[in-house]
Order: sequence, then structure tokens, then C-alpha cells
Amino acid sequence: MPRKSLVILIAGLACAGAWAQLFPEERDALDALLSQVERSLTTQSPPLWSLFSPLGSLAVMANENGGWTTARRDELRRNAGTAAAFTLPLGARATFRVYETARELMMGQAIFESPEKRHWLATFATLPDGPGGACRLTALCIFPSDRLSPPEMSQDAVNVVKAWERVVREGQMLELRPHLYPDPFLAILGKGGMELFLYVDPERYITMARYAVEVGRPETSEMSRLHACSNGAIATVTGTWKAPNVVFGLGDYRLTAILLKTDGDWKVAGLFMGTQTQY
Amino acid sequence: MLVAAFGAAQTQPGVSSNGHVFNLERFGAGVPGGWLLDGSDYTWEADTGPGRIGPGAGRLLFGDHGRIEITSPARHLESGRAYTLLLWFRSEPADAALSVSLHDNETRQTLAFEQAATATREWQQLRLTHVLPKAGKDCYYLRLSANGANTTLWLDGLWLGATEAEPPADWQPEWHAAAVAVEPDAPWGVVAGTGPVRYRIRVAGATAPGAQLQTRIVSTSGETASQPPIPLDTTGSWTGTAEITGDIANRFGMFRVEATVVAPSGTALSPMTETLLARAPEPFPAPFRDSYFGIHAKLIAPDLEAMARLGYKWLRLHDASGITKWGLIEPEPGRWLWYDDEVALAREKGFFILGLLDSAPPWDSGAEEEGYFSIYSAPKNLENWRNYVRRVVAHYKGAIDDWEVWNEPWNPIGFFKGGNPQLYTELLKIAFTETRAVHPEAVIVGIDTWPPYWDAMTLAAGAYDYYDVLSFHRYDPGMHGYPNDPIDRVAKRLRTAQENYGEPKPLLFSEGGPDVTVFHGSFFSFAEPALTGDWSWCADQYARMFLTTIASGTQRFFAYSVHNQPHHGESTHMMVEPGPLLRPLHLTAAALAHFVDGAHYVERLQPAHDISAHVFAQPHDRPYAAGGCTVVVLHANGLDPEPLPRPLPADTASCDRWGNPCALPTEALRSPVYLVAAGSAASALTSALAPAEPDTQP
Repeated sequence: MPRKSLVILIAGLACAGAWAQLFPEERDALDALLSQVERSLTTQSPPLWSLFSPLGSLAVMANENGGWTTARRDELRRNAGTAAAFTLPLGARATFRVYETARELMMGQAIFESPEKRHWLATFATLPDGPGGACRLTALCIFPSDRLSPPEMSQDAVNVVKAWERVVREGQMLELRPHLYPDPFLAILGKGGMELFLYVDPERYITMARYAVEVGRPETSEMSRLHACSNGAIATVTGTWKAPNVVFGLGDYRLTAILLKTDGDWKVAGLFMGTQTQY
Repeated sequence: MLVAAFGAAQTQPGVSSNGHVFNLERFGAGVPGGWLLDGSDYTWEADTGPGRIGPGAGRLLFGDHGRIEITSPARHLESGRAYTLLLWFRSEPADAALSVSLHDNETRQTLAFEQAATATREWQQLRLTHVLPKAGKDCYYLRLSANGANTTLWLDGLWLGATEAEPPADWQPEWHAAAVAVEPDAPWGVVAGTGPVRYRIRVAGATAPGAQLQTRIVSTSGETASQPPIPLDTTGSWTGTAEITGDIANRFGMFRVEATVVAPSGTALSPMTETLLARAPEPFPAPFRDSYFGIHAKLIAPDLEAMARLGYKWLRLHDASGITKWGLIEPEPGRWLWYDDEVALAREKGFFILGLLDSAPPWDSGAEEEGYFSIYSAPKNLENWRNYVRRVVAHYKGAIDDWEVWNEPWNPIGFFKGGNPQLYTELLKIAFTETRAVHPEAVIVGIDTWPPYWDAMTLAAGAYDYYDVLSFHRYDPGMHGYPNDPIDRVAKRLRTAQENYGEPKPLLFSEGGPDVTVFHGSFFSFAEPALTGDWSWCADQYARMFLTTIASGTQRFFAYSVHNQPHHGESTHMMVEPGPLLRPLHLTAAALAHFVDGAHYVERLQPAHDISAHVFAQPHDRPYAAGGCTVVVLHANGLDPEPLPRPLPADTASCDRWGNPCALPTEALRSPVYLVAAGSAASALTSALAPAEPDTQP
């Protein structure tokens, strides 16, 4: 990756994550997980599936022909061929990390750098449901970051995420159906009050979101600090969403979306939102 | 073998195979399973005479105010494509009115085929061709309404399917000569224990000599079995009763009965129609006050009987009946409506009742709103509220001894308009004081929280001293049962919140569930996954929701609800099929109730980090063990199978999520498995499930 591009990418990630307030133990937990992910991707030990939560999982890895491989935890465990797609060159290290925390749902991005100075952007979401409260992945999305699409090419992905902002305000959640990737899919909403809603099926996600909005449609719905990265086939969008109401709570939500381009359209395969505010 | 059985049972229902058609060709047999029939003041017969398309038309005899409304299941149709609707009808005397319409299943808006007609003595045919506008999920339902006064209406040949944009004027589909409808013999189709599972059959239309009824049974365990063919006569209207036979009949779970009239050659003479039946394991004897299992249901005999057979032991009234709501029982000052017969019926069926002290009549609240929410404004005059509480608690003393103060008071734009935490606390204080005065042994359930601000603010306002049990609500389709799951977190939060004021009081999960229909599942073959979800997932989810309630130390869970019948595919909280018929999720809850009601929750063992083994001590004689035993409910914490680290003792009995005996598991699955052992075998079982040391990744 040209040095200038790498600096721009890091600056973008850093600005997006500057909002985050992290307790030391949260940082330590994420650091520990990322170290295991690093070893798993480069040496296959521990096996990647073992770093995922069984509550719901989404793994996305760019492949060399411009596409991607997706898997859930159980496929990584039982299908060696699928698991083999999730590898990075030996010696690749997570050199830059930015973490977001929204109580138990924690998210982040990291840049992996190989000894040959090739780079990959990893986007992840975690839950602390591992042994002893350790963080485990619920999502991991990796694609090469040496030739990221120019920002204008990522705007389409941002616009898809922005659709949430509008439909929640207007109470038209069904309009999101065409924007959801059918399988695998994972959405996690970590609400204030230690509530956690988790969906592995887009139809269920849409239905629950629809009823939540019907019960208490937020008067305002505003997204900000949206930042997208894309290689043309996979995109990640991070940002902040404010939609206070009796169902969603009063806090700002941090969001991370993972999108896959299918038949020319971006579709959301992973959506992770959480707030630090209890009420 | 075990894996294969579960693999089959957990297969996601397939995509629609409906052929983009609604047909109810021969009305004489009645409405097929999955169609919703509503009506009053009418009788329905088969006409064996020659109808417009042969014998077997439906003949509806309307009384003074006869009416029917038939709603099809919601099905996927192709928007932008031409569809044709056909319906033959006539009446004697003329003037019976009827109307048809096709609706968007999501919005209920009429999208096509909106047509009203008046019947004459001669057969007429409604014949409409429309290009379908897009519906929310491309799913539609058809509605046919008819009414008349002292008239007879004949209906025949209802058909809606994809056609050319302009089909020839004389075009007709290939009509079936006959029709069959099957329906359960038992209330809601459910029997408990070992009794026979019977269904009633009605055949109408032209049945050639030698025609038979072919029936296939499909179980939720993944088995299928053909039943002995039933010979039919040629009268044009045949009725009978049959019983599921063979090994499949002994399985617990649900059965789908698929029936078709066939000619001696094997040619189908009728469309295949279905009904749903169920066999639940014998429930724990009622009444049982300490039961974990509650439901919202109507106080009518068939519904109560079905719920009792499923093992539910408690009823929460709320809007399932509304018979204790102030806004409904004192419509004018001093005029009281009592429902002693309904309450007595529920008690006779073995249920305990959680009454609701809530709502306010508009004459007190000043509410000007009409309809359902007209009674959900906060009371204005607290002395009127005090009088209401005193009257209703005293009236039902001994029949209803548990009272929850207000439904969802945290919702100031819905159930407690004009309310706030301070006012709620005042109402609670009055309710508690008055109830204690007239019925000292009564239990007062208070707070009824969901959002954390509500319990925090009502407790801060002084609520702690005025309830015996703290209640909460939650709708959540997550796969619960793992440590620290959302319901466990809510229970912990509510105990912590109370600690600021005194000893934490018991908790009650007084309303909730997996939410709406897509989280319920359906065992009809034509169910659209986009509308009713994956029944296998839903069956596991619902049982695990009860299980986590127990594991969290909460007294019981009242599932919401079975008190209304929506059309098939309608997105509602009603966990009911038209009929009413059951959904598979009730049968997994019934199995859980069979094994753990009456038992004490001991602990959660984790033989591996992602496996939970909930240990119960069952002191009672039960069909699976005499003289007490240990019951373990085993499941994977997440969605994936997890291998057990140690083999289970061979002398452990094992049953699947429906309660059927199965091989000892070697891995924990999303579906609960019940392990039963007694004496030294119980110790060996819990040892085999003891946590691996240390708590490490598998």
C-alpha cells in the first residue's frame, strides 16, 4: 500500500473511532482476542471457528478473484475448505487498531500488515461470552486495503446504510428488505439496559425492527460520522446513529455495517449497533 | 440415528409450492385447513344435487342475520402478473350479498379483485382478471364475505390463479370433481398422554365407485406414514372419523394430516387438504400453583381444555378476556359487570388466574379516544380507583387471589396515557392497601416494567413497599437459555434495583414471547417462510424462553397469546392457526412442562463452555420415573451442535424436544434434550455433565 494511502486509511479509522470511550479491561480483552485472530489467520491455530461466539456469527474474507467467501462458525468448524479461505500470510500482524465499545457489544477495525508490506482491513464485532468473560467474535470481515475504492465508489454503500436513518423515522422498515443479504446474515442490537437482540435471519430482523418502530417511532433519526471502506466487492461502514425513543433508548448508537455487492447492489450482511447509555 | 432424526426435523421449511393459486372449488366439504372461517347464524351443508360445476356445492342457510367471512391463508403471488378470480354463486330467495377482495398481507389494504355482488336464483359467476400490484412481501390473502336474511346461498368453484392477461370468455380451470376437508376431533387438535388422535373428514362432490380417501401423516419428528385408505360412497356427501394409526401415532409432537380423494386408478379427484393435530406428553397434574407455565387465553371451554392439555397452569387475564379491567366492568358509575361463570370454568379446568387491576372507564379518566385504547388513560379520581380495587378483589376472592397492578404502565403513549411513575406508585399503593384490607392472603404483583427507567423511577417513588412480586415484560425472538442471556440479565438487574430498598422480592415474567408470527412457525405444508418463519427454530426458541425464565429464578412466564384467531400468515402476537389449531412451539413447551413442572431447579452445569445442562430435582411420581428423579435439560448455548466432553451413563433415559424417547446424545444441540435418571444413576449423570476444568475453549 502506498504510504500516503495507508496514512489516509489510518486517519479515517482513527477519526471514526475517536468518539469511543474504552475501559482498560475492555481494551485488554479486545487486544487478547485480536492477538488470537492474528495467530489463527496466519497459523490456523487456534482454529478460527473457536474464536467465534455460537450465539451468531458472520465471517467474510475477500478472495483473489474479486469475490468473497462467507461462513458461519459451524461451517468454519466442519468445512476445512471454507476454513482454509480465511488465511493471511505468515507473519502478518495487526498494526493499527481502533475499538468501539457499546457495553457488551464491542466493535473495531484493524489493519493487518504482512512482512511484504501488504495490507488488509479487518472489521469485527464481539461479545464477551467466552470462557471467563473473554470476548469472542460475532463478525469478522477482511479484505485487502492496498487498493481501496475511491470514496465516491463507497458512497453507494453509505447510502444503503443511510436508508435505515430514513425508514426508522418514517416507519417503513419493510423497505429495507431488498438491502439485506439473505444468508449468512447477522444483526445485533445492543440496547441500553443490558438488552441484546440478535438476528441470524434477515426476515426476522426486519419484522422485529418493524414492530419496534411501530411501538415507538423515534421523532429524530440522524446518522453522523459515517465512514466507509471498500474494495469494490466488500464494504464496511461505521458511524453514529441517534434515534431516541422508548424502545431504542436514549443513547447514541455506534454502528458497524458489513456489505457485500451482489448483482451490482450493496446488501447488508452484518449490522452491529450498540449504545453505552443505559436508559 | 439421533443426528439424522434431528437433522430432518430441523430442516428449514421449503419455499412455497402453492402454484400461485387459491382454490376452494367444492364448498360442500367446508373450508380446508389454514382457511379462516368466521360467521354467525348460519348452517353449512353439502348440496349433492348437480351444481354449476357438478355436485358438491356449498349450501349456506342464513338465519335472520346470517353472515360468513372466509379468509384464505396468505400466500406468495407474483406481482405484475395477471391473475383470474372465479366464483359461482346463487341464492333462494335472491338478494344474498357477497363480496370478494384480495389484500396485501402486510398492510391489509385491498389491492385487487374488490367486487361486491348480489345473488340471483340463477347461477352467476364472478370472473375478474387483474394484474397484481406489489404487496409488502409479495404475499396476499383472499377474503370472501356473504350475508343474508332467511335465505340460502350456494357457493361453488372459487379459484384464483395465474392466467393470461385476457383469458377467453369460456375459459375454465380443470375443476376437481370432489373436495375433502379434515378437522380435529379434539379441542385445538391436541390430546395429552396416550389417547387416540382422531380427525373428522368431510367429502363433497362426485366420487366414482371405488373412490378412496388417501391420507398421509407427517410428524414434527420428521416421519411420514400413509394411513389405510378409507372407502368412500357415491352419495356426493360423505362424512366420517378416522384415527392416526401405526407407530407414528404414538409420537409426541405435531402431526399434519394430508388428505386427498382418489379414484380407483389413483387419479386425484380432489385437491390435497390438511389439518394439524398434536399429542402432548401427560402434563403435571392440575391445579399446581407453583407451575412455571402461564398463557393468555380466552375463558371458554375448548381453549381452556387445550391449554390444560399442553400443561399451562396459569392464565393472565389482560386483554385475553378483560373481565377484571375497570374500564370494562364499570361502564357507568355503580353498574358492575361480573364474569363468575368464566372464572369458575377456568378454575374447574385447573387454572390459577392472575387478574389485572388496571384501566379506567372514560367516565373517570375523561378519555375521548374510541376503541381498544379508550380505557387506557390514567384515572382522574383516586377514590374511584380505590373503590374499584376493593369491589373487584372482594368479588373474586377465593377465585382470583393474584392481582397485577396495571398492564405496561411504562408506556405513556399506549397503556397508561397521562400516567407517570409517581401516579403509578400512588395507584399501586392504593391497590396494595385495599387488597390487603379485603383479602389479606392475596398476592399483589407490581411495577410491570420493561425499560429500566420505569423500575428505577417507580422504586425511587416509593413502590417497593407496595407489591409482593415484581413483574416484567419482554418480547424477544433470541435463542435464550445460555448463561447471562437477556432474560437472565433482566432478572439480575431487577434484583439489583430492589436491593437499594430492601430484600429483592420474587420476579414474575408476566407477559412476553417470541413476538410476532414470523417467530412462531407453522406446520402447514403451504406456510410461507417469509411469513411464519422456521417452525423448528421457533419450537426450540419458545421452550428455551420458558427454560431461561426458570433458570433465572423467575417464578413463571405468561406467554402472549392464543386468544384470537388471525388468518394464516397474518403478522400478530397470536400463536394460533385458524381453526384454532396449534403451532409446533406449544408442543416443545408442553414437553418442557411435562418434565420440569413440579420439579425444583437445582443448578446449571456446563460440561463445556458452550453447553448448558439445567438440573432439576423432580420429587413427584411422573410417567418417566416413580419416586422422584433428576431431570436434566441439555442444550447447546448457541446455534451450533457442541460435542459432549464425556459419554453419558448408559442407564440414563433420554427424550427429544417433543418428549419422545431417543438415543443418548453425544452432542448438545439447539434443541433441548431431556435426560432422566434416579438414585445412583442420577449422580453418575450429573458427574458426566460436570464442568470440564478449567473453563476453556473447546
